Amino acid sequence: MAEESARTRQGLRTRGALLRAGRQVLEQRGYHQTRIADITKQANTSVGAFYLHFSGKYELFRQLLIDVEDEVYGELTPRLAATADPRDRIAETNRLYLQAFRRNAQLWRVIEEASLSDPEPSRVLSERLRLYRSRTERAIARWQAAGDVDPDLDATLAAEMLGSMTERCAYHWFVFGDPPDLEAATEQLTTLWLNMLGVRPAGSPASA
Amino acid sequence: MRDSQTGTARGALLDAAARVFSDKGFYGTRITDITSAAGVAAGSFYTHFESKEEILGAVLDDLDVGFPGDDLAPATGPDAAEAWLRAGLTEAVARFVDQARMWRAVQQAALGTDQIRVRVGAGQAALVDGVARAVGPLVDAGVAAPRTPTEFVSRALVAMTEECLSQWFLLQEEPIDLEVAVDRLVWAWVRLLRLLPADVARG
Repeated sequence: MAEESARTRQGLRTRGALLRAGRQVLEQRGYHQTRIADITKQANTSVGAFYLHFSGKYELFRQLLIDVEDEVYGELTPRLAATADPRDRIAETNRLYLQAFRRNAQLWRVIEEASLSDPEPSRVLSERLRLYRSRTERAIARWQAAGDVDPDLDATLAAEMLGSMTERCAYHWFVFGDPPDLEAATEQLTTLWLNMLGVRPAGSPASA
Repeated sequence: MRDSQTGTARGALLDAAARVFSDKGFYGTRITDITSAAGVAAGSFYTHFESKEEILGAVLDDLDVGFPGDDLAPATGPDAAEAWLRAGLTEAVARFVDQARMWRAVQQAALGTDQIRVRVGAGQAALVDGVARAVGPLVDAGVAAPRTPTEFVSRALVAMTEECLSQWFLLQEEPIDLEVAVDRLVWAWVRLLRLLPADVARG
């Protein structure tokens, strides 16, 4: 049998098992109350094997953080063309975000807990938020250029406030409270986006 | 009935806990940190509280919650409504900044323990209800037209405000100016509620 190291096939399997086990334990116990020994026990491996792959709890956590953020924010690349109606684009983005958040709500709770305590996860999260906000800002600027949105609207501020609203609503619903019906929540959030951008919802009369 | 000495020790523990949680965060706080800051014997903690979670819950009972100004009479027009909003948000921002570090400890605890999470969830719901009580009359009077149910827009306003304040005053390295924070929030609340003068709202 090949000697186990981080790079052998067996090593990759162990790494995968540790990540899966780490996610389970973190979701059950929270960031602070998870110990390496809990993870290795769940993964059916030794503490020594853990340190072949990760320098500590934080490094494993960081890998999970990158994976889940890629999923939650990565899915926000809308399939609709950039020129599509803002109402449709906003609704699609909100729906994808809420779905991805709901799938990962337990891990999201751990991420928030860690970012309130340690500067490093907090910094990683802030960077991703900035990326996401600038994407929203560019979309708003395109709608302004196309005449769909008031050209005098402060797109940077609108993107920040809308992002904050959407993220924290998802957090309230899926981490703290009763999750709403996803379609209804998408529709109502989208209406609030349109309120902020000063765009009429689809089908409403011009005088509304 | 509690004798006055017991009451005093309990009060000292609560005051000390609020300070220590703010300084060290929930997980960084040990019970002995609280008792030594309170100047009481370590063992006496358990005369009053069962756990760190329980004393945090008791500290939370004393914190001022609710949307400031939700007890004010509903405003009659967009200008009065905006002035009312600005006053409420100014107070909310000042209060958050004042309690930001405590708020961080509470959020940490809420994410790690079910007991505090349920508690914080109930606090969020109460805040949303307070905003809904203030927003409802504005919608009924035709001053605000958020085009979404009052409960929904109230939740969204509370969530947005909470996230912004947490970013601006806790997570960001350089906190923003208080007046700038109030201006941004008022701007967003007015637009989300569609609390605009009639000619602009139509556009």
